[in-house]
Amino acid sequence: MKINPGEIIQEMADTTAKLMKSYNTLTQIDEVEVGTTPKTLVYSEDKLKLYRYDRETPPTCKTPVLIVYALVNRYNMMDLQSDRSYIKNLLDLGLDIYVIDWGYPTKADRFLSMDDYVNGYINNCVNHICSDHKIKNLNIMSVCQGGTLSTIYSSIYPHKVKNLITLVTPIDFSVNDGLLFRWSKDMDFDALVDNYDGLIPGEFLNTGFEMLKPMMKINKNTGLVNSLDDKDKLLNFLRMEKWIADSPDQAGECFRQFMKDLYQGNKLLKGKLVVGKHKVDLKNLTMPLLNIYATEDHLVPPSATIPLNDAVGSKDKELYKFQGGHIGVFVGGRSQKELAPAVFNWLKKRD
Amino acid sequence: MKNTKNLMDAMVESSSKAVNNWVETAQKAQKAAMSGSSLEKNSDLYKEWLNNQMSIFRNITLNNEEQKEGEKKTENSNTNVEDFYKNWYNNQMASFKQMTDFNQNMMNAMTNFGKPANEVNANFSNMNQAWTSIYENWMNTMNNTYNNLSSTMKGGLNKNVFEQMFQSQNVMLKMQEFYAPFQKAMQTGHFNMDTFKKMMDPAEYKKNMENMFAGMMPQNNMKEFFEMYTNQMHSMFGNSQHMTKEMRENMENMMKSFPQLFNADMGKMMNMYNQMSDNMQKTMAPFVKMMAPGKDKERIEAGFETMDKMAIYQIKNTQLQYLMMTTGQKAVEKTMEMVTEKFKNQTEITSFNKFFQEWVNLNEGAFVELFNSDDFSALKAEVTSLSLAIKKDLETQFESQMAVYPFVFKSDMNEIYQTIHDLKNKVKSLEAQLAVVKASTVELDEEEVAKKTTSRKK
Repeated sequence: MKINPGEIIQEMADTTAKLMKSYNTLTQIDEVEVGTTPKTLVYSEDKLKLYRYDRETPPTCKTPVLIVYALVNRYNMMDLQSDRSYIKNLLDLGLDIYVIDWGYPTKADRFLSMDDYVNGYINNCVNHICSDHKIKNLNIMSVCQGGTLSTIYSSIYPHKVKNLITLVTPIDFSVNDGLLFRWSKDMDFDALVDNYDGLIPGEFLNTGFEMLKPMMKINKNTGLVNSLDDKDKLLNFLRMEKWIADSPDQAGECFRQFMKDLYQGNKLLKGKLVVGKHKVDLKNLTMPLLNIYATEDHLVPPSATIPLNDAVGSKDKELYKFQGGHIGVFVGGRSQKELAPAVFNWLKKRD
Repeated sequence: MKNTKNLMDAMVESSSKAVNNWVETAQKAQKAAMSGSSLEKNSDLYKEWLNNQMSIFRNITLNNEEQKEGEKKTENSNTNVEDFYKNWYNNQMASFKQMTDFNQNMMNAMTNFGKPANEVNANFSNMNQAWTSIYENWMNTMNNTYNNLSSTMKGGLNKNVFEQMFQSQNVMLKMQEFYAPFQKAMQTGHFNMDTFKKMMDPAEYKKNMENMFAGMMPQNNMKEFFEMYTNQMHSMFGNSQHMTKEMRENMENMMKSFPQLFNADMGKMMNMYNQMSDNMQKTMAPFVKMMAPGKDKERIEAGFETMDKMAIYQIKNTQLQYLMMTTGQKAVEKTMEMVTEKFKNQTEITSFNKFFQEWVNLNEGAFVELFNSDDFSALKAEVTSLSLAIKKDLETQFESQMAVYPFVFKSDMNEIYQTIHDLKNKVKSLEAQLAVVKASTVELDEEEVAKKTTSRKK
């Protein structure tokens, strides 16, 4: 082995130069904005807000779409920047889109349960949109944990959902090939919720997510030096960082049931889940289903997503394989070109 | 801003010129040495290089002064920015001074051709040491200037991003420090796995691991909790007219024994703790029995329970850290195997970044394997539950101590939150029922109107 000092010193000088250039770039950046596609508030309840995305032209698909995002992190990941916005792409294609903003739960929301979220908030939003459009049912497009909640909702209220789309949604929680699924088996969630005073901090969840890829943070930050002098790349990075850091706390009772009944008990797939007064039977879910999973998803592995299609009562059901990771589904370059048109076409056919 | 930009461009350009000049001179020197030129020739080259460097930096100094004048005239001039440049510039000069020394060492090494191998090795070793110092100094430059740099950033996010980036660079620096002795041993031909074991400094590595996984290890917070709580207990027992002398002595012995926790013999620690705990309970039992049932007794008993949890937490958390550290050590061993392989194959290392990247990849694999194990999962769950249980205990005890004062506690608020939640649901349910009633009333009204209209027509 030989060490070549000349080249290594050159490497240092290059890094210094990049850092200096980046300083200029950063001083020119005031505020990093995410989720900038224009939208209008149409309904609110407690901390929840229901928005409708503004359209300049009439939609080409007449049934409106309600997006139900996870309670973890924020929905604006689907609208990170105008040239990488899954939502903007769907709008441009002709969908009429509503999105639920769950807001930021505080200690006062610690007793919000899965019943409140499913039979309360989601149901109220669906009722509001249906009433406004004078329709009996609408389309639901749901993401990750929001997909699980929407699947539960669609099983309880199948007559209110015309078509269901689930993206990277965990359904079979018995799998062991994702670290979150592995760790959840041992965790005492009662102790966690009670001792955190009923509000699970977003930072706690983020730390868990970081451990899934332990060296990613170091890698990301050392690699950042190489793109610091490129304003566009730096802005992309900052937007993503902003989204990652924007991690709302979780209402304890809902978190407790989600983790105990689903991650530990796998009750949804076993047909033993009860939400409020409703026993959830996936066979009641009979509307057309598009189930999208990501091949490289380290948060929700494909093995946790795929079994939904066999568990539901729908006859019209499709499994869509996306080559990428959990976040890449929404922000990746291929997602913009490939996924949004596929989703639109699927809905249009069933409109 | 324009001036700032010009200044920066000038500095970057000068920095780049300085390095290019250095590399160019080094190449010339190598060629001269290889072709058997005299030492004087090399000295000339060195002088030429030095003069060029001085000229480059004199030039930038002048530019710097001009730019400063310009900035002073600018309404938006920012003194922090100037400080940053000044600091950065000074640190860069220090770095280049070291580069000069390094270059001198290299020149010396070049003149050693034909001399006994040990002398050549010694010179080469000096050169390598000089190179390590340069790298370290360069990274320190970055870290030293970080405060100035970040103070001029707009917005918390940008600042945070920079902070994280520099922290990561620091990990990289520490790894370079850590691996430097091994690299040196390889250069001098003294490396083997025994050398590695002798040189391996677990304490240094542990520090770096803690730095790397700072967010994942709640140790510091718990340590503070623990210290605060034991102080409180000491004070409480001390005030009880020395009745609990034996208990205090036991506590103190226990505290003294805590460093043993870090010897990683968890079984021994657990036995030691159980023994201590038994002794304490025996010591305290008569006094606790003497106390009348009531809040004070409850507090004392709750205190014991918390102490028990704290000790178990410390042991379990140490066990968890031990797993993390041994995994890190495995990654080091794999890295050394990889380096040894390169050494055998005479692979040239031209980038520390690439070397660092390989180390990162090895760590990623090792830690994912650890995190996926049953042992880790169970232990992590246990440590998390224990740490939160202690937090909750302390809060409960705090409430108990402060109950006589007119404060609103978390437990009181929880009752209010529960009531509000139930009331909200009730209101929503009633509203929904009312909406149904209203809708049916409207339908009835419409029917009646229709009936009346029909009867009138008749």
